[in-house]
Amino acid sequence: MKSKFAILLLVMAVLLLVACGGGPGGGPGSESGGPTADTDSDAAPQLASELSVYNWADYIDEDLLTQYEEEYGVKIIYDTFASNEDLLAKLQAGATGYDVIVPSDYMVAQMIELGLLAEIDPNVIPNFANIDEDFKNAPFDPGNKHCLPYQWGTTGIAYRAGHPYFEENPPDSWAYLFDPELLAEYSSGGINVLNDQRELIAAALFYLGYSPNSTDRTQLEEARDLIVRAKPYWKTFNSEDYDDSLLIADEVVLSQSWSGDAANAYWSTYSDETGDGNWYYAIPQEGAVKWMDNICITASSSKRDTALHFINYLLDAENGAAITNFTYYASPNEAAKAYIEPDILSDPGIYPPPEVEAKLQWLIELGEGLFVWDEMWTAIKGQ
Amino acid sequence: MALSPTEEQVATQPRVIMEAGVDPLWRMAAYVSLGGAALWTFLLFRWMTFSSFGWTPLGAELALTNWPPVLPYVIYSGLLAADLVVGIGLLWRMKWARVVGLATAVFAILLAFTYFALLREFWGATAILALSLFKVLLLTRQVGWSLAYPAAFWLGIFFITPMIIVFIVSLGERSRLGTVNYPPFELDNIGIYFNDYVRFFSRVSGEFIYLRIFARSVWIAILNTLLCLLVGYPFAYWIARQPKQYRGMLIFLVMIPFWTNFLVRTYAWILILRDSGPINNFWSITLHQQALLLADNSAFFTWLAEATSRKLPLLFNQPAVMMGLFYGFLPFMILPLYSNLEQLDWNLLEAAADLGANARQSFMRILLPLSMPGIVAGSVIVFIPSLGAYVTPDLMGGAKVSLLGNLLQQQFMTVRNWPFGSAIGFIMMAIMLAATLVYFRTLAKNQQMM
Amino acid sequence: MSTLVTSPPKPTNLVKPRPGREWGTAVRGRLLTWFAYSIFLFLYLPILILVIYSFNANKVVGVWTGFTADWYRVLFNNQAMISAFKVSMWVATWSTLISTILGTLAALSLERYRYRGKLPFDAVMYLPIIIPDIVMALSALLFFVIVAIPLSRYTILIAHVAFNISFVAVIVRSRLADMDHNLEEAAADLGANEWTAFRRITLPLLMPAIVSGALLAFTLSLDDFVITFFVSGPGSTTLPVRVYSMIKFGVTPEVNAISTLMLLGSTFLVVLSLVLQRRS
Repeated sequence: MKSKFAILLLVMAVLLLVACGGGPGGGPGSESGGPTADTDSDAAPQLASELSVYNWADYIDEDLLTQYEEEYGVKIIYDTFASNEDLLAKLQAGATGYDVIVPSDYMVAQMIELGLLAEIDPNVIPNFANIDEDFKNAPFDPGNKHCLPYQWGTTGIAYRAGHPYFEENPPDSWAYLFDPELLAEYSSGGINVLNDQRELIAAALFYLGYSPNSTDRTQLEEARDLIVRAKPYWKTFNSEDYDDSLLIADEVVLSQSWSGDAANAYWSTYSDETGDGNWYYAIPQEGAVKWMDNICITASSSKRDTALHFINYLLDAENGAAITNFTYYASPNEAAKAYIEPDILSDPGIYPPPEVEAKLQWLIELGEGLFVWDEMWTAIKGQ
Repeated sequence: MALSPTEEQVATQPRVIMEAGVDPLWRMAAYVSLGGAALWTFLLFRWMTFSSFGWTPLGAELALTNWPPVLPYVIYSGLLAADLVVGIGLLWRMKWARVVGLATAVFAILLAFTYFALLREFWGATAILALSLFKVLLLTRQVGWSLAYPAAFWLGIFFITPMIIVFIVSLGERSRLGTVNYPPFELDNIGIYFNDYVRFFSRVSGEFIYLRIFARSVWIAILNTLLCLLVGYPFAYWIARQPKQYRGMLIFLVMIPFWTNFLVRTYAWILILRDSGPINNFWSITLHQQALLLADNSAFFTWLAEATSRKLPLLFNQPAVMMGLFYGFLPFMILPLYSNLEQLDWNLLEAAADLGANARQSFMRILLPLSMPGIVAGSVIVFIPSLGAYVTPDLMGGAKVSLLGNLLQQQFMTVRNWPFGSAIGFIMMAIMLAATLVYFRTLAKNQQMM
Repeated sequence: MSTLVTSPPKPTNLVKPRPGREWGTAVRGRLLTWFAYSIFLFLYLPILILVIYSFNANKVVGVWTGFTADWYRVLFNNQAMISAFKVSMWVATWSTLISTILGTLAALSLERYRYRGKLPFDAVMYLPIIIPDIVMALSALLFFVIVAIPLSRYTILIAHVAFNISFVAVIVRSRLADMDHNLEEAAADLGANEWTAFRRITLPLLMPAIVSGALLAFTLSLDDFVITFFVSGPGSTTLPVRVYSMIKFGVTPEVNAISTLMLLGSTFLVVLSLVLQRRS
């Protein structure tokens, strides 16, 4: 026991010595800046050793990440989410470690309001010049003070090519997702809808002829009833891996789908013999959602320089094209078009022609109206 | 998960094994004091040097720079000296050390709360609180509490406090941005705090949405419990009647699949049940082709060919969820049933048979009552997690079947309505507690009977 | 999982088949045996499928094209998977260590001492077992948000210890309750001080239960998904959370490979613990 005691005393003594030697008179109030001195702008930014990126599932060519890691010695911690709401919930629940995130348009507006995004000056990013002027200065983030465009696309209907029913009646309307009479014809083959509050209810609103951003309670209730009536005909609510696990695997014949996922299903099932793939994509005549995802830096990030450097890397013309060639989503990167595969550039499902584009609408932030949407969504999922 | 009530046993064992222990408590208190001294040294050191080191948690302390910076010096070094003196004094068995130690500890406990309130630094406050509380227990010679203290402190801070927070949050209301607001307190309007509880049980836009989810969850949980019981009972009975040397191995065999991850097992079922899985392949390819070949021969094969032309809807529906839950919780039923049946006195059954009881009679009159504790234990153990299930409905129900767990997850992870989510959590907890109470009551009654 | 709760061997009396008792009983017995076999088949079917598909050459899970061990190689080169495995092991090891010590102490206290406030404490010890894990998960999350602790592997560890303590305590307690008290008293009579008595007598007798408790804690920690899912932060993904996102976001046969390895690992652990217990 005595020896243990001696050791303890020794430790204490050492600690005390260190304490006294550490700061003679170095009172806390005596210095001004303190530890928060930030490395805001430097000529040659010192890159951090790690960068945490939170992106949509399957939304980047992961080779780009490895390449970045090898080239700049920054380890990328890569995580994925399934919907804008998941992303926001995770951030609000105190997941403060993410540096770079990729929210969609309406979510950017909401996150700016919540103070979750860091302010940036887009002009310090050289490759910002690559971006198409049409996509700069978006209404949800005027002046690109927080975010830079990443990819954009539409939400429509993917359906099985060669299905006897669709041969005669190509699904060109949301009715194919919501009308029980039509659904009865082919629902035994399986239907999938996106497990995404905004997208699904917006589709129903389009079908009913209302605005996809409606906050009118009676309109939303109508949409809810429509969805509830159609729900028994649907097989799954999936917005994560439906292109691989449901479309390509032939578990369904029709699915609400994002444009790139449908194109992925098409090219994955493409055979040289027939010169065709198994999945077609249609933008319904009633109109559809057009969206854009954006790269942003979280307000809590302590690695802004590295994040900006990484964003610049993604906005590079060749890298931007590599992303599109992998995800099949349209790129807002004008300079990248030179490297994007011609098949993708000419695909009207990915780059819709002007007359279709006229029918597309953005989702905007709902404000107080979100309460009603939340209520409808709970009712839909609870049925 | 053996929930063994041991109140009676405790009552019969009043002996205290450490009753001669004058020393150990004091010695322990001395070490805790010295540990406290180390903590104060650290805090002092940090306070003196943070500007030159730039430690991150210290950013918070900066807020105090407007204070006379001497105050932290006085407090930290004062407590450091006190703890050193107390520690050494206790080791040398000085009577006064106890009084001084208690006083220091009480002061430090108060300091811990102030520290947290001012600096918002959780770890420092927790460390101060942990050491000081421990010292109080040791110096007031609470042997039982001292032993239980580490666990009690951990559960108190990281389990009970969170539960209280859940309750407090459930009283608030969600703001537009997803944060939690608390309505101003008014005595005659106190009901406003319980809005979320009321909402759960009332009509929302014309329908009892939440009650329906609630009813469905309870229904599925009950159904699953019954199913597990119906299948698990004969199975446990069978194992219990095997020769003794095999039984351990058989139970081991039951357990092996459950040492793989729960998600992985669920995923395996998805592979089996989906449209392109082996069952549906057999059904719609092998069987279909055979039936087509024979279709001309008989009406049955014509019918079969017709039936097999469609895939069986095995996945992404409520039966699939049931199946997943059943598979997941069957062993939780088998194990308690087995350990109960294994200890039964089978002579009773034989005696009954000798007295002319038929199989049904001896089952109803003897086996069933005797195995009641096992049945109740198994049922509770299956019922509770079935009610809280959320991964299985999500994966095997195609995110289409909504149960209480999904509702809760949705409130937290999608809709960001924390107050309502917390209220649902609290309601679930109440049900669990009720179920457990039933369990203990039945157990107690059973023991009285025997 | 409570097989590990070692119960003292009880004398059992096998019913000898009564000669001449109608053949109906025999048929019933046969039926029961077949029923039991089919249950075993049911329990093992998914595991079997996983193991088989982990050697499937086809990337499309479910269509067998040939044997390959490629997925294992892919797996060992998958950085994300390896780091998830490391986090899982780290959390499981530390939470086992902490909760075993804390749980054993609590069990000793609850079983051997009487003090004021013991009953509520006893009740609280059972709560983590009873409360659905999703409720625990959300309470832990809210707590960490409110005291402003960033989510990381440490928050996972804290939450895991919180539920593991109870499981360890329950197991150790049941053993303590069955233990013969006279040995300790005899040791005390022979002049051993209480610490020696504890170390020489109580602890060795208690060891099997402690090992069982630790093993259970380790497994629960490795297996836990719901709580970890709620309280894990960036870069602190555990294996189950990783597997979940793989299942949700596009499955590759690597999942099968990792599952097979996990199955092997856990079976090894169980066998090890059984051997250890038999020895002691």
